[in-house]
Amino acid sequence: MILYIIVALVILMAACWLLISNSTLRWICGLLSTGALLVSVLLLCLNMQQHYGMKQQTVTTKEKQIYSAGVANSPVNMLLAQRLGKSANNYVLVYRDQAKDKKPATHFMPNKKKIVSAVKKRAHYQLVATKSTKATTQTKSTYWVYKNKTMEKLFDLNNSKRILIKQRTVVKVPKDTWVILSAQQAKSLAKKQKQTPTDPAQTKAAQQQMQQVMGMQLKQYQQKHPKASASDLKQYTQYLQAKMAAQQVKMMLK
Amino acid sequence: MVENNSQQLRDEKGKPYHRSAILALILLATFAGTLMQTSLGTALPTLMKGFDIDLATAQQATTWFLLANGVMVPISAYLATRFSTKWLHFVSYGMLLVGIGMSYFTPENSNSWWIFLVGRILAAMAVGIMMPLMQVLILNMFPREQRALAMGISGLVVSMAPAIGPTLSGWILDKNHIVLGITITNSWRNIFVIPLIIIAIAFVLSPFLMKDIIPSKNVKLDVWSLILSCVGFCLFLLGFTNVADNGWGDMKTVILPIIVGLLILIVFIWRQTRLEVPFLDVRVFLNKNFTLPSIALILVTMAMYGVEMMLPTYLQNIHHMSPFESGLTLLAGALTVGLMSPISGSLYNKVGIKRMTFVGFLVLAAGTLPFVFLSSSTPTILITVLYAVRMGGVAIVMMPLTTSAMDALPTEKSTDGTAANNTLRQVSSSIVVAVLTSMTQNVINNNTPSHHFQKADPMAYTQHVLSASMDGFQLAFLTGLIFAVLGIFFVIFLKNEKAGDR
Repeated sequence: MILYIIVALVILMAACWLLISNSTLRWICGLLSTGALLVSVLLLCLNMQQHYGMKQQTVTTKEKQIYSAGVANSPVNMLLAQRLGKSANNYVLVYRDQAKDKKPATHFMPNKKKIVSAVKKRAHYQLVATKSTKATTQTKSTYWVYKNKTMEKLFDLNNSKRILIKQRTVVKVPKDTWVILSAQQAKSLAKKQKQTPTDPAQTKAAQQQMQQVMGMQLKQYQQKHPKASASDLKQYTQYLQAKMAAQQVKMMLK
Repeated sequence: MVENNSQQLRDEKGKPYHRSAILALILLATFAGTLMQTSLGTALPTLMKGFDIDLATAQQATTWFLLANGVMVPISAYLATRFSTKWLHFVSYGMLLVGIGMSYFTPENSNSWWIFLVGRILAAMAVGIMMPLMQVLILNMFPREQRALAMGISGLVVSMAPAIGPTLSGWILDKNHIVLGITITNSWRNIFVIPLIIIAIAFVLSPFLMKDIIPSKNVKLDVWSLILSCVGFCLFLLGFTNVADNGWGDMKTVILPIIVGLLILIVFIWRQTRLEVPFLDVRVFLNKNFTLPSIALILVTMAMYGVEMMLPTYLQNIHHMSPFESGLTLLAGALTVGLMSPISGSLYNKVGIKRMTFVGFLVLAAGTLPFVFLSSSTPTILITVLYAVRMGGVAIVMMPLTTSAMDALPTEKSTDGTAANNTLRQVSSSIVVAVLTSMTQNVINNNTPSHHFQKADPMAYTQHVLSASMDGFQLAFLTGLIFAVLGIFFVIFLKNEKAGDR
């Protein structure tokens, strides 16, 4: 809208100065239209420079569960994280959006074609001490939004409604039950898993040992929480399983 | 003067001629010429690939064009006085035809690149003669009260062609197009086709339509002036052209050419004041009513370049547009000039130069101010509309100022006045381009963070680089604004002399 106003005022101003032959009338109209043009141009500049007519608004999305990037149905929960730069707290993360997704998806890869908005976005992960196996993602975005409908009509030139200032995404990952791998670690892990000879007897022994440990820990949990329901117990078992699996992977990476 | 207007017009030998036919012919030919001037910039990457040459070599195509063009302008005064108008046109059209043809047919390999360049130089020399000649012809063909409109119509061609050139070549190079069942491939050769056809038509028509309009005198050629002018302007322009690549400190390619060129030009000017029949009559500048509008013209040129030169780079680097898209974004500005030029030409006669200049610079300043606050996320529509506003301002002042400067001189001095005026504008535009490019680059370099930061945090680094280039662009736009505001105040010095006053 402001652009149309400016164009109209430019034409009006030029017409006042150039077409009115009565000199008094010309000066009055000319000065008035020039003043109006100046004010509208300054308003536009104020909007461009200081976001006149806008206010900051922060939008936080709901926490959304994410799923392991590892092989489907594997007890190990994996998050692939690749740091962008040596010391930036900014990562490209690989995980599944839905449990049933065939392949994990790459998230937060900077879009080189839209570099202007890409530089405003950042993502990182956070390790959380919890007994849950659920990892979640949450995005907090700050925008410039118009203060009211009038301002929006006046200054919103490309119907964008809002302008992104910054976007921060946090992926919260349970500390005990998830493993975070860099792309390189993921590769070497796959290699190691292939190389390690699997002796059936040894595997069976290890599994038995694991189950023993798990059984003991479960008993301890029951003693501590005598009122625990069946679903509580099931959840705790899942936690123990995931934790063991994660520990195993962490061992292999060492 | 009145009977000259209504009666049949006669040339030097008393033969009648058709003013509008001649005007149409020269506009057509000059359109082809100016189209050549700017259309190759976008094609450089394609040429580099096609001829297997590096960027510096490819840039010669535009640098040599600029130099050859600049050197011819001061000479045009002598040529126009010495030779028959008809044959001078015929020869320069022929030269342009041969030049474009040579570039067009150059085989694609690095050994043949020089043929391409020779073609460009020939074309540039032809354009260098044609542009001032067009103005001189208009001044000679039209009485004072009709000049402004005729100049406005010529301004339509002169300012629109350079804006259409890059867009058109961007469109051609974008992909293969099918127009009216004819396939236009994305080869660089097709850029030359339209100018080639236009100039071929003009070349064939010129012996029949063109008449000897400019009174010719058998002046002796002052060889020293010719050499001094060619060498002086060539070195001077070359030095400023090299600033963009080598920076101000480069002794061999920048400082030395500029200083030596300047010294030679001083000798040239000194010689002109001593000669009885000067090669280029620099004494036209002693006329205040010629000099003041000429200075205002320099201000417009500089204000125009401040934004015009940097916007395509901004659109391509920050908004990731192709050359074609950035050309399209700015096309509305070119069309505004086309629309406004004839209107402002006819308004000039009514209101005089003072008010025209005041309003023009006011519009220019109002349209430029928001550019100073441009950010990396500014919507394209804002750029398109405000650029058109600016160009409207340019159109209001450009041709009226030229007409006003020329009106101050007697018609027989129009050749010298045009040559002097155009030379001045050419010199000032090459200076402002050099200064702006280096200034912008300087700011960008200073504000760009160090490279180890790039490894530490590439995204934050990119963000800083983006804002560093925005600082550079904003500085260039600010320069444009300053010249526009200076122009508003300069109006005080202009004398209001309406076309019909004398």
